[in-house]
Amino acid sequence: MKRKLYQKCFALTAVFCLTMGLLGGCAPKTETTTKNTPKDSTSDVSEQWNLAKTTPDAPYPEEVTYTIGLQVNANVTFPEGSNDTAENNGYTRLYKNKLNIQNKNIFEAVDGEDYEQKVSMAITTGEIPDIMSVDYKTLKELIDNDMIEDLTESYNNCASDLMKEIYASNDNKSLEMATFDGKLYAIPVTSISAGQEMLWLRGDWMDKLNLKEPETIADIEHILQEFVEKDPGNNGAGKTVGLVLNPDIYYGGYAQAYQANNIFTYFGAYPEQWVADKDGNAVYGSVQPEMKRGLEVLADWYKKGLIDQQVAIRNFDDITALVTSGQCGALFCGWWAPYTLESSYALNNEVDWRSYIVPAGEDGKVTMFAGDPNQHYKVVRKGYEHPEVLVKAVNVSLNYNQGTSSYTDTSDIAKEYLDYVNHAYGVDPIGGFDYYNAAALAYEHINEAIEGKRDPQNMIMYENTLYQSCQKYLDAIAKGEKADSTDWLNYNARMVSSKLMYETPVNVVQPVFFDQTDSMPLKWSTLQKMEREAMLKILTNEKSVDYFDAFVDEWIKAGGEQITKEVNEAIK
Amino acid sequence: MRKPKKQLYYHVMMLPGMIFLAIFSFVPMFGIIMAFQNYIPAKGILNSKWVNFDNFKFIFTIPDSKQIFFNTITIALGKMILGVIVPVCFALLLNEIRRKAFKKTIQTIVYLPHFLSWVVLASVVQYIFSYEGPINSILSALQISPIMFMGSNTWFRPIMILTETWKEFGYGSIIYLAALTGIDPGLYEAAAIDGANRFKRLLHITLPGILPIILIMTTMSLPNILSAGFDQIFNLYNPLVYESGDIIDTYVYRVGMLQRQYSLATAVGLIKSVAGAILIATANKLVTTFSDRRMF
Repeated sequence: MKRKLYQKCFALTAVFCLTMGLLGGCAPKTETTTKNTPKDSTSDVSEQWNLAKTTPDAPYPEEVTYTIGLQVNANVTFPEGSNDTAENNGYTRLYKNKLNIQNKNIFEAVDGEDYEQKVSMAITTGEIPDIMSVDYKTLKELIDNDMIEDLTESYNNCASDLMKEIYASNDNKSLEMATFDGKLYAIPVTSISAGQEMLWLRGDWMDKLNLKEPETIADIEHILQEFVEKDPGNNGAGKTVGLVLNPDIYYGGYAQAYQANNIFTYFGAYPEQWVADKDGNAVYGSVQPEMKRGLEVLADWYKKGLIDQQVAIRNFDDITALVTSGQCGALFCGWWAPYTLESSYALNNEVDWRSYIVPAGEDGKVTMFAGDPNQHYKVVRKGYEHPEVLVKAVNVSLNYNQGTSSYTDTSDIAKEYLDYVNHAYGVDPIGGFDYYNAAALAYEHINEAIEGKRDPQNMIMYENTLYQSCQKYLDAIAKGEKADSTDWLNYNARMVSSKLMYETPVNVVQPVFFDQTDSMPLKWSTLQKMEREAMLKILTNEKSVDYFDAFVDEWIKAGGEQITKEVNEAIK
Repeated sequence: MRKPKKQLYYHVMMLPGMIFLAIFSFVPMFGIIMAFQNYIPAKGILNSKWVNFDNFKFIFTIPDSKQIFFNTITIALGKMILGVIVPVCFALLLNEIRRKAFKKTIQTIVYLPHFLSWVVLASVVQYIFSYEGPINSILSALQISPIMFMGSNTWFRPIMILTETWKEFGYGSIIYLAALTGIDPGLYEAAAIDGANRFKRLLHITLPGILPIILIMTTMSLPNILSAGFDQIFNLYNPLVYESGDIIDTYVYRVGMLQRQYSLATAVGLIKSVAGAILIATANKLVTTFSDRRMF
């Protein structure tokens, strides 16, 4: 069994390579960030630095690098033929051009869940990027462990008037949520008000069956019944499904698709929301007795076949497929439903979706609950030299998206930036946010522009794009042509349903708590599971509506009582 | 061969494997500490608060823990039992086929599903058992009113067990088919001369011949008693069947991953590993006691 020397050499080399390969994977990453510190100490330059640090718009005299964790769109593509990367593209060049700042991406993640995981990994290893977005819970964790910068001074010095105006559109609630002990720890990314939930019905079916517009719960029931029984869409007997609902959770979202919040708020129930009761104490909406009356209606509809009989086993995409293929003619959704309904129009241009804000309560208004003021929070790593970079960069983004710079700035860099924004190449390292009432404002502005009362340049850039699309839709209709489906979408969302939202008065219930309490992380998912299970069983008639009481008892025992107590302590 | 110098040579060749094992199996074990802490990522393992057995206590006090354990064990046990019986029967049947081409074709076809992910198969299963699906069409042809299989607590568990068995039995039978070829053909000839019919030969030669393999395979599957198949159930369940279908892994996913309770998830993982280790040791003991074979 004598082996030849070369065989031995070969085997040993192979072993060596494998070992090195393994160990190589564990080697510490080399530091790649370069820090640009001012070297020239002449008074002129130091004045420039000072100016950059304390004013909204002044650029830095030398390039400032900041590292980020970037959340990108799943289908990010760059313009054809360009050599752009996530660190050098239309967005980053604008920031570089305006402020002389350059991003370096430590990690990139595609969707929200993936991003959160990468963030928590970064926190675990203690190597967080200079700037990143986090959720409320993580924000608090970072503050508790002194890992992020206090941005109060940066905000006071560098926030532009536009940024302040946008925060003011929701009574500065966003800033309040990011402020702890009087210190601002994050630049909150605001949520746009989703507006009230609407009932979306196939108008072409209603015309065919001679149905009048719905107002009451009984009207809705009648329309659903006609749809299901008379099969106006020629799907074949028994193939038309009634109202579609999302089985995971058919209430509680802010005008999300496939829920039925209006049926609950009609009876004074605010599912999944922490609302104040008569005495000002916070209570959880899903376990209040008012819920039962809403459940009664929905369970009854299910029994009569007016709600999708297979609701339990559908997922979001299945439901969208039903709607697109014309098997379903009724759903609840906010003003933005045409974004989901576009493909049903693209398939069949007789499709005519109409929206109704129903059923109105005794005062003639529908009640909605307002959402969390913020989507997420942008934070700066503790110890980063230029914390104001974040505020200044957001200023730039807001100037071009919500301000007027997109019209006044005709430079190539700006043009390229706008091209990037319009194509939604999702690689903006910083990004901005919008007015709380952005959807209503957009309607107001676009409507005025169409009526010729407003200069189309006197509106934010995105609105201008929408205005042009709406105008194209109107031109196509005037010529008797089939409108492009994107224009159909924009016109219906921005001019039809937004108009309805804009003009219909509505009661707004403001939830009192969006946070998490100490025992929530452990117990909430158990309670949530109980809730979803019980609600779906009641909806599908597997349990009677009276089962709700048993569910509430169990919910209180399993930790609901304690969490309610904690919430009440937290809001004091 | 026994010279120390030679042995060193072989040990060096084992080095990459050992390093691999150390990095990916031993080093991460330090993370188990998290199960006894209230782990907060920002504080890290070193500074998080020590809570002793609180996480374990919590697992057994949550209202659903009994149900979740019961679901997990019934589903896993069902899958294990069918996962032995079906592949063995299939291997025995296939072994009786004389036409080689036919045998090979069948073998290839049945083991294809093994390579498909549950994410894909879930849609297929959903469709087959849906209201408009083939099963309900057959039922309605027989004048039986349609059943919502995937929303029924009676049917959910059997469907999970059956579909998993369907997916894996082809793959599982490979090892038995290999064992079958190892049986001395002389034994069959002798039995035939003694007048044993085909069934008798199966009972007295074939089965005892592959029994050791069956025992080993069963023992090896025992540690999985607390893993009922996350991929499959996660893709197929819905709130209506939480009662019968929610298993430890799906629960941990919802609590540990979505709510980011890493300590709790680690504690559950530890329970699963310890239970698996105890089971495999016991099974090994039993196998050694009742037969002259052993695994370790």
